[in-house]
Amino acid sequence: MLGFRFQPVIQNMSFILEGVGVTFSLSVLGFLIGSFIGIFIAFGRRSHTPLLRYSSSAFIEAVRNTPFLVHVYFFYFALGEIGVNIPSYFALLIALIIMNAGYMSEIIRGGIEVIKTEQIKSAEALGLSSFQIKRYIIIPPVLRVVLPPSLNQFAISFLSSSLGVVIGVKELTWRADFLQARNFLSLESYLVAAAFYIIIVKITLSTSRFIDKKVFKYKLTDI
Amino acid sequence: MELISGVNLKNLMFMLKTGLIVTIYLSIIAITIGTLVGSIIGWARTIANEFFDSIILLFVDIIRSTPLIIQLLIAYHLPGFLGINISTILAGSIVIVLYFAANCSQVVKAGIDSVTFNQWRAAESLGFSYFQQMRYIILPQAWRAMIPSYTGFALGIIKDTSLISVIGVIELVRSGQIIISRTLNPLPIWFVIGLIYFIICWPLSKMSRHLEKKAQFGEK
Repeated sequence: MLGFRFQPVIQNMSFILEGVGVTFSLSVLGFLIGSFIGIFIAFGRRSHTPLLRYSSSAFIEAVRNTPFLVHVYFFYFALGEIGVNIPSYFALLIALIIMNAGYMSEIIRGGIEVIKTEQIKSAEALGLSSFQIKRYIIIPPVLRVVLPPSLNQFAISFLSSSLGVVIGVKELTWRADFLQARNFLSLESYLVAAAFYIIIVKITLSTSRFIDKKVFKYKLTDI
Repeated sequence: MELISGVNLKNLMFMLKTGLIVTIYLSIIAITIGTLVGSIIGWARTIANEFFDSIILLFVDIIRSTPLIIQLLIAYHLPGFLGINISTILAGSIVIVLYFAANCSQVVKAGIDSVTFNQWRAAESLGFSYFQQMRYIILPQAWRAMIPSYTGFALGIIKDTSLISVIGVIELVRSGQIIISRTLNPLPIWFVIGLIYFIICWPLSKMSRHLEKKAQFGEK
């Protein structure tokens, strides 16, 4: 059919699988570190110090309103001009961390807004310890709000790491590009790479849906 | 102002302007046609039977769960593979239109689904036709659920048009690259390119937040 030849691509499967590993490491590291920074930015946005509030707000707006591709180029090419030479892997990682921090801080802020002081006070009145308050009163509704969009953001981070191809990070898309330059099987190489992306994103999103349905059985209004 | 021989500020501004026009053109094409196609697909999914729904969902999911850059690279190579000859900008436009349409269809489907079935029944019992039910009962409520994610995706597609530079369409990012290859100072150029995107997107994101607040206000 249409003369597809997948054989030469499948022969190089180990080469592609290594790319899956690189892509995975990039997106997981970028997501985790980015979320960690995002927590501080989310609290910074609600802080009473104007400087902290405005700077975190400016960071969020700057990240959310400029393309990720420009961030990648900025960290890889632009910083070289002032003598900061970052290897391509870390340039992409830093760009991913910053992108995730910007988006996760908004998601986490949504989670913080769910916490109600009345609930904490009534939990104290019931004699719950501070650990119990965190475990039973604060964390469950926050996770209910934060977890599904976070997994969505992880999928976005996973797909965004494909931009490594433009600066030469040896991740999945770069390897597909490399293979097609070698054996001229452009469509086949890209389709195989796309299949890997689909599989991993599908797993992430169905985990999100599973958590939404099974773990958090109660709607927010019920809590 | 002469920076390097043959490169003056006027030429650079001209190049940036050309790139900016292409970026705006691509964004407008993606958002208008994408919204149209996406709304039709999303609406079709609400009335389609399970078989057709799953087929549409399969295509939508494939588009949503592959990186845009791979879709663009495939679109770049596909015409040659099929033996047809179309310009790169057309191939790129088709990809971002489809990408936006896929995201938009999910938003529209979820928005219409968010309106409870009782509303349909109540409208039906009032003697409304299907079109009237949609127009006066369902869409005004669905609209509220759609606004936040729709504006989010619309802002996203403006930023994602930058990826078309990878297949060689001269839009804002690509014109930035060309300028850098002439003037050899990437830091200010990338800063300016980022700033231009910011100037386009920031008012829109402010506006979308305003719309969201307005939409939520009706609920309370």
